[in-house]
Amino acid sequence: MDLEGFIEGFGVKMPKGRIYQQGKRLFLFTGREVPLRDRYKDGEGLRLASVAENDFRPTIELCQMATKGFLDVDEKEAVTWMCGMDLKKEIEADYVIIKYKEYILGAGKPRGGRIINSTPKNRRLPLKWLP
Amino acid sequence: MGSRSRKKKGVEKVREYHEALLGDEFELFESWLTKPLRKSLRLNTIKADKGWILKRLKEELGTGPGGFEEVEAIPWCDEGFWVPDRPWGATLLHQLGFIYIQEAASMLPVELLDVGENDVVLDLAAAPGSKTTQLAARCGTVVANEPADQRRKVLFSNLYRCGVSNCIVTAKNGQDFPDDVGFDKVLLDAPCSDIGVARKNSKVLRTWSKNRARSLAGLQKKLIARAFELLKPGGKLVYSTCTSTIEENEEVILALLEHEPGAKLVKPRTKAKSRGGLLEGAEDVLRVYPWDNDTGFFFVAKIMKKR
Repeated sequence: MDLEGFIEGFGVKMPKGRIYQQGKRLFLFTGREVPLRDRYKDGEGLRLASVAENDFRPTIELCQMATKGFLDVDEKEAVTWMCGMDLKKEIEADYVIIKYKEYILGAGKPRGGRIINSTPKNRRLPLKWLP
Repeated sequence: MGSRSRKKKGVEKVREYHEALLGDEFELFESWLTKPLRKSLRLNTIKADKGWILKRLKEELGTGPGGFEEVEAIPWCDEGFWVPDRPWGATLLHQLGFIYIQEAASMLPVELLDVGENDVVLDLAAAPGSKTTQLAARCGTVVANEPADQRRKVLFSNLYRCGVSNCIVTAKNGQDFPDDVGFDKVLLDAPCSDIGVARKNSKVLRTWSKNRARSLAGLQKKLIARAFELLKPGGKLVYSTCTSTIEENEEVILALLEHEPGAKLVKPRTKAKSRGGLLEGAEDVLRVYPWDNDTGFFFVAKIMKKR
């Protein structure tokens, strides 16, 4: 999967802006282009995804722009997911976006009866909350 | 010297300084400095509208003691709320970027900058990003500058968590920031001696000294001079600190006014209870004391660059 496929597959509604790749990361910049020399810039815009050969990992923020294709989970599964643990679920898809009530929690890759979790450490809930 | 005696020495210096500074209000200072800080947060309207987030907040808190009934709007910031004491950093609302845990008084500088949706705004000392994310929700483009690597990492993390897509991050020393761009608005929330955060973290009192405040004032004067240079004619600068000393506040403003004939101090208008400046020529600023609104100390000055 790539960004285009993800946008189409999940009905992503993205604000207008410039999408660019820096190294293995995709970004969206929606601000005005200002005449600041590139060498002063350390970063620009919102991280959308990590991309590598045969691997596309959307950020929570990109997932939160999605409008369809959600996998609804219950509270126990939501906390398990947000603690960084995989979910035991048999699903056939390239990707699923996990949703708990009104909250979009991020995307996971189904593989071998599990949904593989790649929630960054700084976005997880404390492990002591694990059900 | 043991940490206990070091702490005592620092606290003594703080007491001595504030006894002279505050006069009749010194007793209030003593009693308020040890009161725990009231928890507050700001709704991040970049990710969802205010009503949606308030609904989720209501679900999170429920009713009864410590429930949603205890949520109270902060009068000077539409998105700011005082909330019951909870580990907010470990909630879905926080981790998914719908709220930012932010001290109520620290919401003032952005409120007073009057940013418009097409403005290009510089946040000259941006980390950890509370005010940058507040700005990003209101203006066209933010340039967020932070020279310290570790602090910049935290800034990036908060920008991503809050879904900020209209921000450019730079890593220059503020006083050397390049003049490639003329900014509509500049926010300088300057590094300071942090007396204002003592209610949250009493450790700041241990290391406080008048000499340190003076040394920081030297840096603050360089930063405000550069911040002013980077403004377009007609642009506005807000200078703020979370400390109470005259050296880091009124004296910094007076130094700018003295060196820049194009700088004009504008009286800030806010719903927060406050008082004016303590030095002649710098009366039209905001001094917010903990007992005014149940916050930390805060100082805000608003300066306009004449056309």
